[in-house]
Amino acid sequence: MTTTMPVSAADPVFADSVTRLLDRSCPYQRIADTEASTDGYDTALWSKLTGLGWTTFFAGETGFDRSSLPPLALLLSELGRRGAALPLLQTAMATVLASAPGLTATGRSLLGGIGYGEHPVAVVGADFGSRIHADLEGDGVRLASPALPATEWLQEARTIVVPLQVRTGRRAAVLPVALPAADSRILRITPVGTLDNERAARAVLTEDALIGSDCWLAAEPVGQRRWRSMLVLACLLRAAELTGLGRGMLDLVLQHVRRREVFGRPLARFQAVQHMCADAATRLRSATLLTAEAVELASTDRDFERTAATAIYTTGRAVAGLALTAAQLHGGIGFTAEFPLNVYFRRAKAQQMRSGSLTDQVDEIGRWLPAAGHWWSLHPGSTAPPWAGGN
Amino acid sequence: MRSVLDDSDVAFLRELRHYLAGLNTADVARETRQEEICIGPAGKAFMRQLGADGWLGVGWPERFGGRGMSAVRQWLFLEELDYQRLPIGDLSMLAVGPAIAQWGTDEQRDYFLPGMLAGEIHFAGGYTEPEAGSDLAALRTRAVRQDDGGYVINGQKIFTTAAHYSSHIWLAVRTGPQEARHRSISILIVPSSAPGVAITQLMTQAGWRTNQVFFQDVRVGRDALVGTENGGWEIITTALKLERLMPFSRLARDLDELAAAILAPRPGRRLADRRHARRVLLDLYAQTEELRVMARQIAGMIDAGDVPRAEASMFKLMRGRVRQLIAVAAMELTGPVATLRSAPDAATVGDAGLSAAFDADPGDSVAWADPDPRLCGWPERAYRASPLLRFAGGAEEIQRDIIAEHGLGLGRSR
Repeated sequence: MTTTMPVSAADPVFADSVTRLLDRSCPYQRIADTEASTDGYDTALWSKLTGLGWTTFFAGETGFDRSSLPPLALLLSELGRRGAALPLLQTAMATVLASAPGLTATGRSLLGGIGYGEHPVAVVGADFGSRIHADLEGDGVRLASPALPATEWLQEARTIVVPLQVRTGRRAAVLPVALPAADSRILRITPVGTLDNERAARAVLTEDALIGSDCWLAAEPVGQRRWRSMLVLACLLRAAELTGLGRGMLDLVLQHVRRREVFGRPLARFQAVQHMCADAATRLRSATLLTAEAVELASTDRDFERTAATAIYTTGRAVAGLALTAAQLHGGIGFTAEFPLNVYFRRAKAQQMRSGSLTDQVDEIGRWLPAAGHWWSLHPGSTAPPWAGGN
Repeated sequence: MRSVLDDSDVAFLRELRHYLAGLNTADVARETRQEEICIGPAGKAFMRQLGADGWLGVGWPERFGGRGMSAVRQWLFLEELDYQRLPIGDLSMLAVGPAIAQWGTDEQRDYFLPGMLAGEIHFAGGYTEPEAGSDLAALRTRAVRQDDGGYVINGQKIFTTAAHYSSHIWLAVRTGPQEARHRSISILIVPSSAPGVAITQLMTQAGWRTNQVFFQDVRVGRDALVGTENGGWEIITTALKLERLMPFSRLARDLDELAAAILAPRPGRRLADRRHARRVLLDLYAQTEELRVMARQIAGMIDAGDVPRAEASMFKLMRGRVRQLIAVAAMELTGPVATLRSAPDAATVGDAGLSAAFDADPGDSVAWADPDPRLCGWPERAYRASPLLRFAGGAEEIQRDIIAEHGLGLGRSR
């Protein structure tokens, strides 16, 4: 069936274990209760995942392990399918963005800690539009503004990774730093509501807080191109989750239109309804294929950025569009707080926007393309045909 | 399933590119841009050359003179030709040849297949009728069996593209009761020059020619029947399956060239306009990437022994739309000058359109209100041509029906 397209070629045994565990421990019918719970996420499920090593296997001692991308993408997508919100995506994205070249002892300790289960870890400003400006000052770095962008799971995180835009000479670069989330001398964290079932918070640095070099994750600021590549990889993880969210929504839609009868026949038998489903499924499929290709490229150390940026934009649009179709086809029942579709509806748009405004997302594709007229060239002078993809 | 090409596929493409680079294809590419649905004289010569060099019928079984290549390789072959704006072969190569190989008699195989590979036999597809398009099972052209086993054919076909230069028509006819719909359809091979066959021109808004074909008491022998009488539906659907490998890369190239022309710095152009245009074009780029991964996946599925039915419809649905969106964007981003058929100096930019103008020296003196000659002529032609892929070969609505029924399991809505 067209809706069962996997987002990566993960080991089938692992895929099977993930599906079984989540079918048992994370049914989508429970997401509304979990959202309303004190912690905001299923802590028992989190413990189970941690016990299995599924919240840490992507963190190597020297940084994010790209060969772990296929299983990670699959796990995120399966969580997405059930509409689940967990600090896993933030932890994985923080791991990617902390994995700067020239890691400091702090960086190695953070990454090693994640590998040993010292998490969740969060990252702020992990989207294509955010810029957190700061100035290098002696041995430290001072933020232009003490307020950091509101982000998911800041209150729950042990550590917060903050990418700072700094200038070294005439060059703009990015310095990732790690802040201890629990230290109120450095950070004041206040919760803030979100569109979906993620728990977000706003962090403000205490006045005059100069971030010392002991917080730096990289010895030198990272060049823009390298940083954007890391950012694209981090956002690709969100796209992987979104493919699952889309699939979960499509499953709900198909279930509903088969069951619900109007004018003496199931909704599914109306051509207008079928065509809406067909359009949505088509978009979801091509987006999933693009995401899968980007995961494959990145996990095998090939140029992935162009495909990944395209996948992020395309997946967000497909899944957010599918949410509108799903709500339309469900009618009143889908609009109720009781029926779980509302969580998917809210989450689709929220997760799409967390990678940046649509303009930022589309501009990111442009950043990885050569000049127009050469968009379809793989490499200058390459004899390989241009449309053959990013290898 | 893997989605990235492996090294041997890329090596195959290099070989193909190297081969094509050794041919002089400029005239063929120009002709193909002018006339997209028929193959002109240069195209025919090109096809003959491909045949002589063993590059035709790449997907045909080797025992019938083909190369027996995997679906992925066949797809790559089509994409490369499409990207270079070369004819990708007609119905003969893509569907009829493999269908004859599968369903034909030994005599039919021995006669038609070598002739097709040599570029001497061309088929026109005779399916569509004025009252039977996407609903092909409603066709009415009738063939009545005679005592000698031959048939007498009466009826009318429409949109029989290529009929005027074809040697034969691959004709779907009614050989039983009309009510039996798809169970009383047969396939006959009819020489285009047979007495009683009248081919008349039908021009399209794109400026391309297609045809109407009238059959009045046309007689054919029993050897014209392919497969069994009333067994034509299976042959038609088999042939349609073979058409699932369809290229898209010409669209991608059109888009890329359009982007280069639109985004070129020009005096008086506001930066905000360029930013907007760039985003519109990048959105279209993302959609062509969606097409690429879908096409790749379909080829991979065929090689894995799967039948990409809904998947092929999804690709077809998107390809038609993306092509039209590119044409519409070309109009909307260009403005008034997009409405013009060519610059006054047609020799410089002329009807050959965007790509030919691309090759021209930008310093050529084009006395034109718009300083970029590349945008003269192409958008309006692309716009006129843009509806084609949304209805040809099964309208968009039918593709959605197929996706819903076979991909999503929602049952028949008709």
